[in-house]
Amino acid sequence: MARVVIAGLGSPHGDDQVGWWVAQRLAASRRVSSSGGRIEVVISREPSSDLMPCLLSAETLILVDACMAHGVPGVVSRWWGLPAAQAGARWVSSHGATMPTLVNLAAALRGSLPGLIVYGIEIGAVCQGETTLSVPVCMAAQRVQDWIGSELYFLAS
Amino acid sequence: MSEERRIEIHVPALARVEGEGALNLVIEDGRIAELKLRIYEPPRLFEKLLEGRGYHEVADLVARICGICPVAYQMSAVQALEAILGLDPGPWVRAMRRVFYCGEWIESHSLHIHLLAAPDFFGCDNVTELAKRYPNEVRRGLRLQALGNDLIRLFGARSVHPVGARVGGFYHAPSMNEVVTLREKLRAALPEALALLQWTASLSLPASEQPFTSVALRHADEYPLNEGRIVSSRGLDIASEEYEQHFVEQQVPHSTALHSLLDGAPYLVGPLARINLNFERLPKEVQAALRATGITWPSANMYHSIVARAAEIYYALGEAVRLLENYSLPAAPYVEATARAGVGVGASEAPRGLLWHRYELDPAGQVVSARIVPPTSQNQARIEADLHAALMSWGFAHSDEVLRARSEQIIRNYDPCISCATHFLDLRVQRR
Repeated sequence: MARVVIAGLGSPHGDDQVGWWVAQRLAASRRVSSSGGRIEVVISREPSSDLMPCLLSAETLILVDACMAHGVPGVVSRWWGLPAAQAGARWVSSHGATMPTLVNLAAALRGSLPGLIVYGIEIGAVCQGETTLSVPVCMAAQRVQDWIGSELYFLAS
Repeated sequence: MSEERRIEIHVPALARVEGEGALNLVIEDGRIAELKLRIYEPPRLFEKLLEGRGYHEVADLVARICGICPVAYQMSAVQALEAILGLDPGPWVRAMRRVFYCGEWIESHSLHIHLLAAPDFFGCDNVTELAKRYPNEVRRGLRLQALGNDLIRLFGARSVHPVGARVGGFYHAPSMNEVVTLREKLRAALPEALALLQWTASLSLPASEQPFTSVALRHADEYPLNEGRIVSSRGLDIASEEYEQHFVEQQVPHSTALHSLLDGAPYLVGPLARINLNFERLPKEVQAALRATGITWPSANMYHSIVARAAEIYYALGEAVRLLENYSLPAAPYVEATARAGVGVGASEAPRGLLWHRYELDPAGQVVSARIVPPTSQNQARIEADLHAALMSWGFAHSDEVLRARSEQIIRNYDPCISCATHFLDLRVQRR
């Protein structure tokens, strides 16, 4: 497993696909393709099963997801580490397996807390069947792509 | 501590179960004055949502009832609809549906054993605490669960709410390469599943025998998944079409899920009931592993359900390997259906037990009515009966906290899926 794993979370619908959008572009980037396997990109469709292998083995996991925190669409939040992520985001899960739960479980299994960076991109209402990102979310996604590109220089070099 | 004290235990939100439920327990003068497993999750009205939908939409819609056991809902539904449409999907579909279902058993049972039930037996509040003490066992559980997910994904395109199943078969047949790769992973995991079975049997399981009726499907020559007659440990032996003549669902004020009774009494469905009624249908190596646990089968101890779940993981891995051994690509992964009117039922064995569906279609193939009886509805009355008997027998000379923990553990033995069960709404309209 790579030192750094970037996981885009989301669905195919409208602005909710922003996590996948960022991950797909990073996967095609030169920094990832020339990393010699030190950086891996995951398009996470089922976080409960996709993310645990990443959490168990990566040194750092970068998550990119849409969020709805009553802000203006396009606003980007960046949380670092589990406590910050817990404080900054209200993770929702129908069966109690929230992201902090998964991170804590991974930490217990590997004996240390994996590095965790979370990018949340504020979105508005999502209509099923929409295929494109809205303009403000698309612009935010491009910024996040650039920022993660810069972070990778330090994390995986 | 006096037996005569008044104890009120209210667990407002049961932890480590699927969905939202609660427990009210009032003990007065050493007797249980009130015991209610309250299911307060809002009704989901799936049967009503299905009305007016085409038969071809049903499999995808009912998969949304549960993120843990969507395959079960799809399998019972397509079976009922194919009965109406007079469809025989043939041996390839029959075998691959079994494989698909094995994936769900592996995934759901692994999740329940490790994330929900096992912490109880080690005094841990959650799986994170358990993982600190038993990391290898938890890692093994996660690996098995992932294999179950992989198997569902092989046929369903995704493991949560899969979209690959349809009336007549599957939308897509996996490639030979995909099948061989996964089959060998499943084969390699068999020793891990056997070790899991042995581990669950080594847990300190309380002795708590109770007389109860087991109900499950029973097939002429295989362990039941998708087919069979409905049988009980008290001699019931009926076709699934006769279900409504023997099983009655009734409303209770404290639950948005209906209580099911067989001849007026609670009964058990699920892995322990299945093994109790189908032990000799298991392959010899699974039978031998179960005998080696030292447990006498059939068992009247609900704590043995965790061992039964582990045994079914071991079975399902082996069954999937066996069925995929001679995999070949079919000419088509489904047979086409033609709409017609009728009534049909389907019964299959969900991870948590018997799942019964009934549909009526109009001549255009649209759903006129639907009825879905999930396993947790069927187990609700039994859970309350178990709690009553187990707590009376255990006594109340324990702290409230210990009583609460014990009650929750008893409930978790049944792996209740409350989200699946909440199909009912007590709607009373007064018109003036």
